[in-house]
Amino acid sequence: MSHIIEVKNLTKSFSDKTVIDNISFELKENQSLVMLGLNGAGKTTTISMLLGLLKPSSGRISVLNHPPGSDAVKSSISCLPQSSTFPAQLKVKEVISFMQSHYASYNTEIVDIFNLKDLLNQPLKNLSGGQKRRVSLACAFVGNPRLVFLDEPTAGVDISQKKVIWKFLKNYQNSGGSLFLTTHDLMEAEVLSQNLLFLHQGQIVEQGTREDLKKKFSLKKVKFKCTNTKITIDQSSYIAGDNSYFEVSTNNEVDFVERLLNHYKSSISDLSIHEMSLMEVVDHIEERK
Amino acid sequence: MKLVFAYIKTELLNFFRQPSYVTSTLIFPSVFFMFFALPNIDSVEGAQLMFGSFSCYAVLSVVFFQFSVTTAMERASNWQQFLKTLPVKFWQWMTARVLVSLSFALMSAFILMFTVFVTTELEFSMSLVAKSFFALILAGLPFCFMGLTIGYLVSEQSAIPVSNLFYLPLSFAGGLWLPPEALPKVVQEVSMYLPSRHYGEVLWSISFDQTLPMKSVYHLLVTLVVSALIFAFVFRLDHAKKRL
Repeated sequence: MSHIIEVKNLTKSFSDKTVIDNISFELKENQSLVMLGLNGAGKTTTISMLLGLLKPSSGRISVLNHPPGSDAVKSSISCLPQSSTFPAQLKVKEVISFMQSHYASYNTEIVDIFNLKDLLNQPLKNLSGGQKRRVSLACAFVGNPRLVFLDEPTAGVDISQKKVIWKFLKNYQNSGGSLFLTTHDLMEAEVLSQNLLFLHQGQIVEQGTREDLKKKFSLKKVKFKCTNTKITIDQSSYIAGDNSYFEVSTNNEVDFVERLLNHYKSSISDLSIHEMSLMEVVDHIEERK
Repeated sequence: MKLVFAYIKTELLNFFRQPSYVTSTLIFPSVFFMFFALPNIDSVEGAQLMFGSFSCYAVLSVVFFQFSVTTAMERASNWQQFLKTLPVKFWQWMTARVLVSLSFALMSAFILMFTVFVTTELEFSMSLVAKSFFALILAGLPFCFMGLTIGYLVSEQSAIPVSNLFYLPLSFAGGLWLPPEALPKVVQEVSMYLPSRHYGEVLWSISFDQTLPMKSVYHLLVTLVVSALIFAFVFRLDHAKKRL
């Protein structure tokens, strides 16, 4: 599978402040990459460089095997900026028609997909934040792009609309599209990511596939109920949480459960083993930082 | 061209839905005419002269002043950043911008023409209207590029003062507010080197139904080429700063 984005030793400095510090990553065609990080980590700066809006201080970027921002790239990509960019006086139908005029063929169902039919005659200035976000998303996908850059795609969108958007983005991926997105919403990252990249103060602190990262950070969660409020296994002590449930993270759940049952077999009930959620993996990474 | 029209339509819709912006931009030269020119007009010749002067001023205020200020402001806006990610060629976007700017300028000139028609004894033949509009557009192009150059050189905060620094002297010393003969001696001498003065000369010749002053036409042609080249250089410089 070919790389749709290749970034090598990318650095961006503003005056004497280094915002992106020697990062490298790749994204294969028909894959998604979610960039996570706190505010100011450098996510938007990275997207701006990938779109050709900012010149890197050093390093190399290739998008669809071309320099970012080149004419060869622009007709095959699109982006959803962090905030609504369209002039507020324009009506929804005018914005969508304007976007359609850039492409030889375009998605004619985009209005229905993002549930915009009732909003078509409304000027953008009258829309709520979530409605504006849906309009921007419709615009990002109207030209059937191969690769879409999404900067916090569901910021300000309610949960029911988020689900609609996530479903659309999954379908888009399943039909061969590639996604590069930043988000603070870990549920969104869990749903949409195949690859994850954690940015902290301009540096990549972790990257890999979602499954690899979960493995790297162990991790399975063993959950059980015990009549004791405190248990000790091989010199490690655990204290019960809510409703006498214990939750133990381990990278060897079989061994742990064996030892647990050897020591406390008669007191244990409701034992189950869970995959770690992405949120818990992120907690581990943040704790480590 | 389909994309150029889409950009023109979008810009016009955006501007026309801001009535205060549109009204003030379009009627300002006419208001200026009524305050400063009309009280001194006592003959048809005077009206012809002032129509030529103020129609140039109307175009200058839109394509030079407004264009430079809005360009500087929009360069900093998310909308312009977003447009740079779309599959549109620079010439398509720029053609649309220039045409929108010129169409606004012509609307302003048309309102001025109506004001002159209502308030003076000057008669407007179809020939005068057509020639005036044609000359206003073509001879106004160098000022478009000048406005764009300033818009690309300065920040949004300094766009208004910097534009005023050029636009006010160009208007005054070019003889667009006062007849050139009424200007101070030293200004009259400088005036002959200003493109705004030659712009005025072209429109005065049309207004008085005289032959075109070729010296002024050549002056404006040279100014057009030089201003377009300077803009191309400034644009590439701005582009190179950001791009790979």
